[in-house]
Amino acid sequence: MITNFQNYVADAGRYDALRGADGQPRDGWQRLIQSFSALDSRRVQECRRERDRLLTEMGIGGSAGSASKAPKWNLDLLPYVVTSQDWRDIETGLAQRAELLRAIAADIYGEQRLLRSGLLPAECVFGHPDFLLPCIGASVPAEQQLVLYGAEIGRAPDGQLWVTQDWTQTPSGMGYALISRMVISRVFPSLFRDAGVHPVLPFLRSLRSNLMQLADNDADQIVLMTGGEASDTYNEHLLLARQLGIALVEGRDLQVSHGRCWLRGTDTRQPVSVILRHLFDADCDPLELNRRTATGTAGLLQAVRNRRLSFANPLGSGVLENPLLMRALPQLCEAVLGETLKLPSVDTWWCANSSERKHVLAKLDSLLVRRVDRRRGTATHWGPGLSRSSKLALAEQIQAMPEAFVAHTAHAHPSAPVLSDLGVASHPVSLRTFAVGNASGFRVMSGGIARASESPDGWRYSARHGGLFKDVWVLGTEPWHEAQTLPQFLPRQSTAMQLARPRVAENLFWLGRYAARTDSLARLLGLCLQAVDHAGDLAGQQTAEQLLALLRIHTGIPLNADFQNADTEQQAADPGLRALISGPHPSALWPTIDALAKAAQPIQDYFVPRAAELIHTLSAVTGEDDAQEHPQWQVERIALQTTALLGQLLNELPDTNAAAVIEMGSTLEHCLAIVRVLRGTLIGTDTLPAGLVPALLQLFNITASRSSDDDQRLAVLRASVTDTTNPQSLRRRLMRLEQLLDTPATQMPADGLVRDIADQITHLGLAKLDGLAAAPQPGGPLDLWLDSLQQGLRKVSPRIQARFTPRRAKSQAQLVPTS
Amino acid sequence: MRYTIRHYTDYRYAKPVDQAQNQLRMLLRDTPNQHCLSYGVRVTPKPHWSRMHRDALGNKFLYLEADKPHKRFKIFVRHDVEVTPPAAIDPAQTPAWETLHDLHRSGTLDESDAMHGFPSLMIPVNPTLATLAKPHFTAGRPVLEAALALNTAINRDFTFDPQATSVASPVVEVLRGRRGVCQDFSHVMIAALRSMGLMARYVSGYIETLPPPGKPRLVGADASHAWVSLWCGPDVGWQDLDPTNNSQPSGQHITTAWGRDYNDVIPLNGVVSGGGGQTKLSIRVDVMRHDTQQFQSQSQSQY
Repeated sequence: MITNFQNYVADAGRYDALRGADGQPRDGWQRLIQSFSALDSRRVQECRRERDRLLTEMGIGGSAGSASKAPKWNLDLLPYVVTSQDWRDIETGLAQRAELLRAIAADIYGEQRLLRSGLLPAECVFGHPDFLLPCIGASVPAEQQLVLYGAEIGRAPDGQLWVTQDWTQTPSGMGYALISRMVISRVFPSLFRDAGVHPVLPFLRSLRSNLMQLADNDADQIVLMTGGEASDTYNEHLLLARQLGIALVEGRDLQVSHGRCWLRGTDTRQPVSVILRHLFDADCDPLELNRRTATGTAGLLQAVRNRRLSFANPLGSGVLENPLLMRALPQLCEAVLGETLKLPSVDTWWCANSSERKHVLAKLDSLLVRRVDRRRGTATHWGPGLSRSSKLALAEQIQAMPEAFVAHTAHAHPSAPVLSDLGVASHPVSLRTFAVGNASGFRVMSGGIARASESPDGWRYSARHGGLFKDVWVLGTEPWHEAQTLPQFLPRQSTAMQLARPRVAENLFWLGRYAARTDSLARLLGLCLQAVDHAGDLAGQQTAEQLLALLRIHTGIPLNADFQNADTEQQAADPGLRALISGPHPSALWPTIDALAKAAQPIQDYFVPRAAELIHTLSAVTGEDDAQEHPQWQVERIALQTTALLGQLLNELPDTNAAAVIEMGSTLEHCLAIVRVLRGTLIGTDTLPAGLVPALLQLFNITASRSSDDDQRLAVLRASVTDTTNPQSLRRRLMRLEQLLDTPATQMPADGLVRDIADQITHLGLAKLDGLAAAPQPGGPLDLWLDSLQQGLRKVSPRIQARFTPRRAKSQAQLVPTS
Repeated sequence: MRYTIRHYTDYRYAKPVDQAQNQLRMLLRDTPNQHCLSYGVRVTPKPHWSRMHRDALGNKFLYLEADKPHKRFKIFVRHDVEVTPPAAIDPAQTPAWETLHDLHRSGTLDESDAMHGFPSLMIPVNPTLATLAKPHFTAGRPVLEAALALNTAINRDFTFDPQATSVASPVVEVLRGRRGVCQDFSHVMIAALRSMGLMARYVSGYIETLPPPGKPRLVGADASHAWVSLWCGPDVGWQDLDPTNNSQPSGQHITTAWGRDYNDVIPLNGVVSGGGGQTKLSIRVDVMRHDTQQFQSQSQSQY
């Protein structure tokens, strides 16, 4: 059985979390072993599917669509168990450590007494690239110098708990702790309930209330600042912002004016007084901290200096993430808090000291060597895995610049059971947890997120390196009654400003465009496949040819279908049509759906779950193998799903402004599609193939062919362009676009866009369709008229976007003229 | 000696800039040898918001915001300043350089001084850079004597060439090409001194230039300048050295600000939105010495 613990072999070099030296399970694990041993492989499969479904529902699919660059998010079914006794040690230890680090940060950016006394070695501060000189003089009250703290917790082989890394800039993973808890507690509801696991949700409430205490004013915005989609942990930022009920922003969404920070909207702005940042210190402010950064907002540090803005954590706190500082903590703790350091740091040797260097060079096999300054040299060397030659090379590097290197015990983390495909195996596991503080002290999360390395002898824990996440169960003495899974999100701080972020408007607009583009393309492909199926007689064949030609014009993808010489119609149509569906060309169906998912990804927090699910289902199709089902069914299914998605987006979004922007995009796209289709079918002097007109009318959703007209071209033109009773006609759609653009929420006075669209509508009304329909030759009046319509429509999109898009900042620095 | 210094900066943008945030570090600080009598700043277009601050090293800086679209941005800064030549120090009487070695690590120095012994954003510290200084830092040699020898060597071995480097040339590049401008020479010298375990800082300011013999002084032909300051022990303190001119400043150097490197004291550091295309920058500096009798003390301050 896959969940058999009998074959579990603990790593001899590490402290094993599951088994003691006597081979017996340690406290807290018995119940878990029992329950998991009882699962057969079918049940395990079910649990995995349920887990994946829940992750997808939360938008943490990892590989969903091609939109996300984030590494795949693997969550182990087996939680990591910590007894309440061990947890008490961790809790008190971390609270003390956080308080100590906060006092050190306050000193570094304040009076510098610890520095002057020599207790805090100068190289810990001035030798560290994250010491930010401009932050002196922009310091905050001492009890705000550290708001959030994260720690990586390991265990010495003898069982001693220790901290292997302090996280003080942007401790990430709180969102992941929540996700894994929500998923695992739902996959194993009864096991979870009976185990009496401490809840993690109260921690998030504390975080939120601490952030609110930092705010100047209740009406001010609190925002979560992200580096955007490019960040590895972007999905966590989305979830956290949603959970905390605060806006998710990027640097370009903010602005500093009159010495304070604003969240800028298309026509309004709101003051921001607290930023929960998920950006490194230097990336926050291109004016003062790093002129090369593209992610921050100029002037944020000035706003802090003016005491109008607080960061969690304050800028400059990265200086605390320093292995050399970890060594100095015991004496600093005595001096600052008058206490013994409760939770020690991992054994650390600094190569600048000759005796320590000797030790490191002699024991490379059993050490993990890394740079003091992690940003400049990212390479970490895992001694046990180094070849002879790389050990020599490393030793040389150390000799050349000894002060740049530190070493830690290689086996600084315990091993614990992981449920892999092969069964229960023992992998090294790193535990991360968090503390949030205010004037009255720090509160530690009752839980956290554990990360297991990708293999039993691995040493890296990140998802990027194939690591697995694990829920952390801190066992209580009795069952816990507080809700574990979130019944609802914390209330949104403010709803009025949802559209404030220009990037959001832009993404909503493109989401609308791509959804409509997917819709038209799928429907056209459906018609085309249908015609190909019925291409038995000459008329059917002509219709199919005409539709294929239309698709070629529509997408710009060349088709090579040759009906005359084909053995069967199906075969003949396949290569060309396949290219239109799953080919790599950007206007083929799959890439269009991918673009849709990509536009949707950063704005997931605006959707109702149903819309998010539809997008996920749509984008999942593009990852499937070709020809799993008949292409016609596949395409028709996509058309249906897209229609449903558009319905959800336009009618069910809680934010009507957002829905309006999506509709602008979809309406404009549909207008363009109409003109393209008409140019692709009506131009040419031949009589239209018999099957084409019904197909076109079906495409434009016109139920009965109301053609009393002899001229079929005229019938199609009337129905699709000028008919005001048909909501899908070009004229009606333009009227809708005019209405959408003319709302006060998006109005920009002087751009003249609404007037220009009104002109277009008048122009349509004045067109003499019968005359145009009578002159369909290429380059003739109908062609030219459609062309001018198309040109006019193409100019609309950039103008709508100009309403949303702020100008980009560029950096300037003066050249010092020389003498 | 009294000077009036006028510094004009003029940016012309191809397209309008609609928001600008600038940090101005052009205001003279007071030093033991220099006292600012009066100053004035004029910025056009008029900033809608501004604040004056002093940074961690005691330099003055002005934060300015402009939010009206503009295609031209002008700054005029004027100072009247009294400069006293520093008391002459006999280099041979300064402490042996080894006695100052790695003092910044000991934690007993003034905290803001200690940072000048460590690498900074633009100035790496490594054994290769130390080889530049080693020939001059022989055993037991007085620190200022050794530093002056290094000053001369850099002046001799590096070619002054305004075309050679951009504003932020990495030290390694300057070393490779052996050419550059005052900032580059200063960065190289600081890197070499720090690599020897000494503390050195970057000084930005102005220098009075004298016309060639028999020619009149040209107004506006001067420029901002940069040089080095080295810590020579608790008794001697900081001593300025100018590798570009192979000199020890003595009354003709006027200090604006100091920092770990150029990045700490950029005269005008800004971020603008808009303003695409080619930006034209022109700068005019005029350092005028007064006969003491003619000088009238004025006090003005305007933004």
